[in-house]
Amino acid sequence: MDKFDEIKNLWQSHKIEKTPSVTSIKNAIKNYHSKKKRNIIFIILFFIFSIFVWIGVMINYKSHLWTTRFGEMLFIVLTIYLIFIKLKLLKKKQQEELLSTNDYLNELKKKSQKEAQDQSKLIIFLIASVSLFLYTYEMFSYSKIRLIIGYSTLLLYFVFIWFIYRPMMLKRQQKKVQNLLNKIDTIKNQTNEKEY
Amino acid sequence: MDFDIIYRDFSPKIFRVCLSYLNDTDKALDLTQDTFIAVWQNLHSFKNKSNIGTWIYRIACNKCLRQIEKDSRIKKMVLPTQVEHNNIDIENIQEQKYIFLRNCIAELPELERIIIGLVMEDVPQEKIAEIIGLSHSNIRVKIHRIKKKLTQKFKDNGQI
Repeated sequence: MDKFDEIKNLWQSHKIEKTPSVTSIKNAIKNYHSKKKRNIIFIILFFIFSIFVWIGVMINYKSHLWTTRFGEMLFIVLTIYLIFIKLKLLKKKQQEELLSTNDYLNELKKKSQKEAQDQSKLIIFLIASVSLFLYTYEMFSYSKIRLIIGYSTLLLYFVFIWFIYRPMMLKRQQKKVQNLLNKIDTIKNQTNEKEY
Repeated sequence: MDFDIIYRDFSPKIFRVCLSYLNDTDKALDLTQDTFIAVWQNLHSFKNKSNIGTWIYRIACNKCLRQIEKDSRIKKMVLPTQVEHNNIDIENIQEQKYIFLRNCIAELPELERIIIGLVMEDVPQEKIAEIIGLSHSNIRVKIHRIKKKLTQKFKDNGQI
């Protein structure tokens, strides 16, 4: 008998750990689906609730300046944009899992590179900043001191987010993505070895 | 296509493929479960263009590769050191050999671990080429190399 056949027999003949019963797998599938459904419903309800809150604020808070109304509108637009992104993420199902290993690695690499260049967080931050600046203008504009203190605080907050927190997160994210890309490249190199 | 039959026929094989990649029983069980959740979800999209086995193995292999995101190091199993030589039973020797084999596989690069897992399950070379997405000749060469590597390690350690 071939030496490798002995190795294969050893592998195949070893008593394997009992895999879960089909019933427990079906239960796991059921749980997985209901959890997914629950998450989608929760996200939608949360965002719908936020929109209603903003509409409520718009109705109850009688503003005299267009800046407040515009800020509120921007917040609603942002909320809708977030719903859209979240649902898109949840809908994006594991179609890539059906690809061949080689294509799957290419897809994973493309996805990771895209993730590294993702601009959606920047857009969200910009819209949120502009909305907040516009919305609070009416509140602060009653007195000069209020205006200076209010906007200085907001400005400090945005400076902190933009120049300290964001680069820190970005660095961490890029390191993670780079590690993943390196690993993908290592595996891809294993597929590229010369035939002879 | 009946999911129960698919699960019954393929779950031990998929478990072993996952085990050859991860060298961790618990993680291999989790991955087997994940694979069959994906099989259930995508069963409607399975067209009889390819063999159902090839299709399931492909999902399992991609699930295995997804593990690289979790940065898990492949752990080694410890060989039993204290074996009483005057009372060695066959089962014990087989167990030692099996652990040695798992450790040898764990030392292989990722793709080779996947390929050897499929080879051990008697998946034909053409199917492995289809699953991995490489040419048949490339896979043939790789399989030859991996077999040689494993056999050599076994020989060097006096396991065969």
